Amino acid sequence: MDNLRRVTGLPFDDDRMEELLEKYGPMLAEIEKLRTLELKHVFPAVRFDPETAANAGTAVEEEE
Amino acid sequence: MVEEAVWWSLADQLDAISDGSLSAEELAQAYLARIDRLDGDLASFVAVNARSSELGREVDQTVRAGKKVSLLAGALIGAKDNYATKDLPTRAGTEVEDLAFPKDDSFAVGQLRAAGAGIIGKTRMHEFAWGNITPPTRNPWAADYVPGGSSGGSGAAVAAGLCSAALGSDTGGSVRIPAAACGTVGLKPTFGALGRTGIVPHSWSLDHPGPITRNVRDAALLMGALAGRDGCDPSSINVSSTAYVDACTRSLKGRSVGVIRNHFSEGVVPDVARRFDECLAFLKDSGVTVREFDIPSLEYGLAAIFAIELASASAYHDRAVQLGWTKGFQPDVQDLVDMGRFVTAVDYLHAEQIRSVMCTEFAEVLKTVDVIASPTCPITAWPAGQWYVDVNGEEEHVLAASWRFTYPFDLTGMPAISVPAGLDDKGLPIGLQFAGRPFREVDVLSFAAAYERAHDWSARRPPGFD
Repeated sequence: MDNLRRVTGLPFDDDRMEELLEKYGPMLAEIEKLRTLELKHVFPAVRFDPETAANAGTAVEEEE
Repeated sequence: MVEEAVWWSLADQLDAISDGSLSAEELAQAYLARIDRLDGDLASFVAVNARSSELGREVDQTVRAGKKVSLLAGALIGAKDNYATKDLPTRAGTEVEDLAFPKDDSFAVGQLRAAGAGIIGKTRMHEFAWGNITPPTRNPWAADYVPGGSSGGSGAAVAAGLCSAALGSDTGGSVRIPAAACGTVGLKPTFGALGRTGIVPHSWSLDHPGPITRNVRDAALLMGALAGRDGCDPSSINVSSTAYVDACTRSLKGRSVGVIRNHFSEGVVPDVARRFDECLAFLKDSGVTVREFDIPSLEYGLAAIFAIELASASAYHDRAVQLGWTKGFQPDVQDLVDMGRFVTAVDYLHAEQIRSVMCTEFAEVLKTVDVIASPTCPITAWPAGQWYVDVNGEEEHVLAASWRFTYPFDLTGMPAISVPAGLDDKGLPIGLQFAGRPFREVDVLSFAAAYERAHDWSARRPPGFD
């Protein structure tokens, strides 16, 4: 569980991690369907506009 | 007269206010009195703007002075609690006090105020828009049933005659599901058509603002007022148009509609299926050609929206997760936010790839038809506290069933509208959905308006609220 905590960055104890993994199970079962597909020729539906993005990135705050 | 005017369409209210036959101040007082009298049990508002009457008085003074008033002068709009407002608190449905939200008006609220509308209050939502129950809001048509969500307060408030119209937001169906469940109209415009600055995010690439209204023309009217370039929203596109309202009078003769055989025709409860068949018969009688299609990628749609929504919502809340603040969330929302980091980056990108495939497949269909029709939801509203419904002998989780026909159009960003299509055998509303080509809101509005003109469902009032 320590390795999973490190990989995911989740700060929870073992019991909470187990509980979340169990609840995530049905969603993972759906998401796993994506892993069966050959999609290397498909461009992902992400869109980036550098000009507008310059107005949208104002909220980076350092923790005190 | 004003007691009846609370039920008028927004367009009729605006016409009467601008010609002086209806007092905007009296309309505001009537809505505030109804909220005071009826919303204790309904629980559709979380904050009410006591200045609404004063704003109405200013509109009346302008009319009496013989001056021209703005397009939406006197309109009283409920704003979902995730739209930031400078004069009302914004909590996005959460009780965690450590979380802060923007203090200025959101872009959409600013657009409405610029057109003369007043915000009568903030409507209740499922916490952070991560669910479609909206506790403790009740369904005006049956108090023990949910109003849908996440914009459940907006759907219930419009259905109960507590405001002229309301704003919602739709990530997997959160405008259209409460609209269908509460017997109102809900429009989810094309992704990018309406600016989102100042709306507390749920999933950046899926969130769509949209109006919930008493009829289709009102949705068109608000669409026109809300549209415009939002310079701080990277997805915003300037689509300002005056064609939306005009589209609501267009004939259906000679036009065409697509029905998707897979996914959209599966697992529909009998009352909803019967009503949809009647809708198709109406369309055929109106001179519409109906064609059938398959969209193979829908097999992966649920996987795609799970991956994108979980990862995006958890990215937004990541500091709250690290700081332990999610312990103050409602248990269902806390679980979803806490687990989003299980979605791998590769899974997320595969989800974005399947979105591309889905967009391509829908685009092919829409080369040959004007719109796609389906029920909005395969079920009607369900009892509060009940998590599973019987769908033709199969038990299905209410959350899985309720968004099955709505989330594909959040993934593809296509415009989609829900229009009332009657009641089931328990007296609960049924919704009919039309989806169209990107930025062709005029097509979905024209089909929904034509259906509405031929039926009186939108004019019906829930018992106990009239």
